[in-house]
Amino acid sequence: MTQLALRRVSHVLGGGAALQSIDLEIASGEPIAVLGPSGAGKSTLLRLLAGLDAPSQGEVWADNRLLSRTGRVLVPPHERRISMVFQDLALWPNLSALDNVRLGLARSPLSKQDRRTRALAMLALCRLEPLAARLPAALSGGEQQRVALARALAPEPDWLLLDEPFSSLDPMLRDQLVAEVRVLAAEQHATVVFVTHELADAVALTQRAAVLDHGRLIEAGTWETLRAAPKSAFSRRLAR
Amino acid sequence: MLSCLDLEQPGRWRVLLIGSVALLVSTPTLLLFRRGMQGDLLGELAWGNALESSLGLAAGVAGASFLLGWPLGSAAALYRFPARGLLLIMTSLPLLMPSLLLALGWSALSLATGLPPRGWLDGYVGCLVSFVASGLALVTLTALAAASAIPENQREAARLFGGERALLRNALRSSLAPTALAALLAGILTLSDPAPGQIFSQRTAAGAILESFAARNDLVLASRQSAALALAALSLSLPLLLASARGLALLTFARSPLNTSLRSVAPASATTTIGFLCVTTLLMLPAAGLTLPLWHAPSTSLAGAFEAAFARASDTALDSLGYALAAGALSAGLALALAAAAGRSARLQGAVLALSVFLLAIPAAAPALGLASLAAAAPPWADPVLRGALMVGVALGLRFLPVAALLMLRAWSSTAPGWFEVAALHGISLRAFAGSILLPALAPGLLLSVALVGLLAASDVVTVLLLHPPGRPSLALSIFTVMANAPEATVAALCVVYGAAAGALVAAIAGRARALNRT
Repeated sequence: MTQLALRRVSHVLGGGAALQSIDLEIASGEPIAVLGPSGAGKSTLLRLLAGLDAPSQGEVWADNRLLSRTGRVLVPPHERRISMVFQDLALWPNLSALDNVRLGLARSPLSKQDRRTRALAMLALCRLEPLAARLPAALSGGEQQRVALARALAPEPDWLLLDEPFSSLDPMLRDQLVAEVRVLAAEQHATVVFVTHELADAVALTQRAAVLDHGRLIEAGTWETLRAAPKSAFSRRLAR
Repeated sequence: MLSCLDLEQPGRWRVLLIGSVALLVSTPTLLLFRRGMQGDLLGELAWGNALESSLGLAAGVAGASFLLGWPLGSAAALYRFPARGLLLIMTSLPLLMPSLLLALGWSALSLATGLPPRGWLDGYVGCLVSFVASGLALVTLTALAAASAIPENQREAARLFGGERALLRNALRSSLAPTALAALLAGILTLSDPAPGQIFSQRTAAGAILESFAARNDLVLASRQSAALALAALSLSLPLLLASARGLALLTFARSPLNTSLRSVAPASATTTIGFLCVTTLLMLPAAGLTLPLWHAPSTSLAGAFEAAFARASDTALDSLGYALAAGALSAGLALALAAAAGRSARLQGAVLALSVFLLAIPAAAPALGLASLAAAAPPWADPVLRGALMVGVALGLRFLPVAALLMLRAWSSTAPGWFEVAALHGISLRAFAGSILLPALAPGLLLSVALVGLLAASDVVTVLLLHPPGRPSLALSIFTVMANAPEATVAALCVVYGAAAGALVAAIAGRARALNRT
């Protein structure tokens, strides 16, 4: 995939509109931040891209392939070459760090031995090899984040969706992890779609941004264009 | 074919699955209703004074259990007190014991210490004290579970607002609805149990049904009486249930914070300790009464009594275990299906909760007689199945499905939606996900369901009495059938053997649960 696109996408959650008529194109190799206050529809947008939900209206495309349309997911999540790190990380608590990453390679054509080797390599890349046998509960918050990241990157996805995974961490650890994600995603050739409301993290990790508010797309573009003609509180802060 | 993601998303299969299980478990009762409705049902409502007496007893048990169990369970959710774990286990034990053990114990104690002609406990009061221990256990545990769901920050907020009194008021308010329903259920459960009535010479509806079926051999009359009793029980429970099912589901199955800290507040802890000691006395007194005939027996007849008890226990052990395991496995399997179908939808969880209370409210004799009438109408080649030992296990499994269903709904609520969604993103098959992640996470709930339903099935008398193949009773049924004729020491020895076996099983389950919690 070289481009993901949302076309006139709306989504209703619990009787209210979570997204309203969104048009957005995300090019491969151009990491993008999705910014907005709580309840703006950022996580909903990620879930629609991943195929975890079908849009109430509109279409989701990848290049010339229709992934989802109104009320239907046409291409299931695991066929989209998309990985995702959730806000609560969603690590499987009864599996070790190694098994969390290894089971994430379920669809890989690699042999059983090669999957183990690949999982260990990903853990090593995330500086977690000595902790491979530990259960998630025995890891610190930062280590758990890195296990989730290793699991997401192990299948070599084209797209890495991050749903505010650093929100519960202290600022120093967050800066460190943001830097690590940038390097790891580049090494694995995965384009990051980063949902956050932390402007500094977004600027450090991505080249472009889309700003949502109350389910509407307020503005989108590179950091330079947003800074030049700010339309939202986020870009005005950026301009300052 | 379902995928991991389907288990997290709405779908028509959920309603279909819950509907199918509901139909399956209600079929025996519907069969009975079909047969029972053919007669003069309203006329049956007035059979003797049995129904009136049973309803009075149910009201007494519900009221007493509620008044004691509601504050105790709510306080136990907030405060640490000496021997908390032990007292809670002791309080819950009567739920797993046949009521006839408690009734026999109270009766023996009353005869040994009381006034002539039959001691100070007889009739209504005897039945009430025999039933109230299990009612109290049900209500206390429900209040405990409901008040435990109050998050730590809400507890602190209540303390800041008005101290311990405000916190306790808040806990009592939170646990009121589920506890009231549990008390009602405790009352309704007494309607289907004939044992204490028989022991204390109190005419009850369940006793009358048993008499119609076992003594008069009149299946039609027993069916009509069961249908009338079931209608009475349902008309009492359904209005409250329908009004509160969804709210109860939200309260009971929400992902509640685990390990909320308990405070040691001296006055509250002391009051709670005293309360629980009083409650456990309701168990200890009949336990002492049960062993009285053994103390008074000469050593030679004591040895003979235990020899006879062990012989009877070993004769019935295999069948008791078989009925219990079949019931546990069936109910845990069906409960897992119900929990998967209900998922995280409060509406569907409420539907399963309503089904559970409906099933518990139906007297045990009703589905058993439904199956008996099915067996009577079926061709002879179906006898090995419909009149075999497996049918007893099936009937017991369906009877106690509500217990397993509640445990599995709770276990399912402890899983995180993200587990399923990550599995879907990585293309993990449902089979691999279930084997590696889901079933290990649900294992404690499944194990507990099999064990609890097994114990309840082992203590059941009515279903086994109505359905067991000739010569293959369970141990509890053996005690029930010999209690009137066998020497007192033999009956006491049988009860002690039963209590020891059940206690060993409970200890083993508690040990296993602790080990699972550690891992």
